[in-house]
Amino acid sequence: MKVEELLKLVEAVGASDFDEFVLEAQDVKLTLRRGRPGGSLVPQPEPAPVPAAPVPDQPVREPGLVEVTAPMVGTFYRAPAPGAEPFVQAGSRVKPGDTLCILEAMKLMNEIEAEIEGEVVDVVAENGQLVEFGQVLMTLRPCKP
Amino acid sequence: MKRVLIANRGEIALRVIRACRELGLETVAVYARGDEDSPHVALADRAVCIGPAPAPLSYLNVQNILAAALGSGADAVHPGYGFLAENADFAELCADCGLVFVGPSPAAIRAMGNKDRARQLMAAAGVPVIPGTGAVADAREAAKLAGKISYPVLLKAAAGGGGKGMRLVEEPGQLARALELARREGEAAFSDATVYMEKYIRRPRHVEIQILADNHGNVVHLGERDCSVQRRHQKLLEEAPCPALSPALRRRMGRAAVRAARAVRYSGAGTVEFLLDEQGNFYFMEMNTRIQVEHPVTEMITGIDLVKAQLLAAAGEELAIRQEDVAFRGWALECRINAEDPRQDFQPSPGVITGYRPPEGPWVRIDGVARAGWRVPPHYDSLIAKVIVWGQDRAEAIARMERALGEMAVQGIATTVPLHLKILADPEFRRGHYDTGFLARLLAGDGR
Repeated sequence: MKVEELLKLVEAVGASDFDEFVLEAQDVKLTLRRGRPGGSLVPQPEPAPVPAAPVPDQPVREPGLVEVTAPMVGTFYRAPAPGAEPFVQAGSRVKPGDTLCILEAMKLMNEIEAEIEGEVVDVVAENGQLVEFGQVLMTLRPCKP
Repeated sequence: MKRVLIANRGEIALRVIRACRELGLETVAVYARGDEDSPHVALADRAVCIGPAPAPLSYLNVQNILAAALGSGADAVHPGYGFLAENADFAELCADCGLVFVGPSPAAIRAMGNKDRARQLMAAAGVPVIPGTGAVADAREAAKLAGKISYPVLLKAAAGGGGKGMRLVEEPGQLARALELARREGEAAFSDATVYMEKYIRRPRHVEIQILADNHGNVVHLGERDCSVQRRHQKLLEEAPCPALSPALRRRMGRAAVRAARAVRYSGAGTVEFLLDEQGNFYFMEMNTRIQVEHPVTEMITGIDLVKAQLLAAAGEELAIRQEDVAFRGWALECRINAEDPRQDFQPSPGVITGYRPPEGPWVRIDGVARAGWRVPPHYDSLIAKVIVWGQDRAEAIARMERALGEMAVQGIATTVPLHLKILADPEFRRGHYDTGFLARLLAGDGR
């Protein structure tokens, strides 16, 4: 690999969003990692006291679990009606197409379905609460095929 | 009104959150994936993720934004500028959901959103519009019409755009040939040979009037801003007042803007944009039915908080001021600091801001989101900060802005700071004798 090519590559990766880039070719192995910002030449202003964005508790997770996330913003319901049996709970077996929960948005009830076969490990979202886009609703342990 | 959802990001989201806080209103921010670390998320009382990074899936995602508003118990939505701010359907949906839309009525947004209709409405309301015609039949009719409008005139292909099918005619002798060319270009580019004619405004200034109105029929104007320093219709530097306006002309333009607002039963903050020619004639261009990027210069010379006024008007309160209470003091300038490289044809320059030092000191105001360690996302607007200064007069304001920008340091990305320093040092700008062609001439001068 020529030096020019290498420099071009570094530049392209630098302009991208990647935090890490690894290249293995015949004659070269290259790892680019973005450093923490800082080390600047200008005096840094004191950082404003910024409250941290709320981060949901991350329970210790076993590997291989699949997260079911909210595809839209809405209110999370575990059951088809108030007082009714929840669609699923920890330990429930589900197969693709089974309803896991409901997200209500703009008075529309959107059924969230399982995409895989497996077992419900934990229902993380709270019934009747607003969930954000991408928020984890529950975790599944996939069946070994 | 107790809790406001801010359907925006960037500096305007911060501006609205701050106004809400001063009024004792709770705030809900919305954000896209990748914007988790953006300042508006941290500053609001609560934040809701509304979708992936691309704006159509997040900041323009009406369903998710409304679900976030309702689910978080908000009772009002402030749209900021851009995104959904001038979307009449969104304003209507907010009302349908029982949410107060902080802005004018859907009808007012629609009336001003359609250029042809707005022009007719304004003409009927006695607001000067650029003299123009309907479709021009032939050369004989064209000559008659041009005589009435007075030269120079502009011929425009009805379906035209981007300068195609446009012909400037300085005198009667050029008219027939120009008409033929405009027709042919229209036919070739848009399969439509229809041509209109309008008065050509030579070296116009972009002068806009700030309006405040309430739901009770009260309308006041807060004077003008000169936004003639533009590149391809993108404003870069704004000032208030406009160096070319006499008090009498200011009153006339202000009254015209109030008539414009009344014609659509306007409510909240709005801006009526005019072209001003060298003889002091002004013509309606359009009305922006929202808060504008450059609103701080008006705040600085009037002492009126426009965003708070918007929120109060939306809550149904009567305007706290009458026209005779509006007074102007001193001079204000705003420079838009964009993540763009003026030396590379204004290419966007997203990336991590590795070092940042904002200007400080007396009469300097920063409305911005830039900070050290923050990654400017490539998906949105390139505005990272607005530097606003106030001075007793224009000379002091210019000197103060030069001082402030000299203190400012942004590392890791390219910004428009060097260009602003160049503009501020330019003799034409310093004299106040500039028009909408100024920046293009300044940039072209670099090539020589």
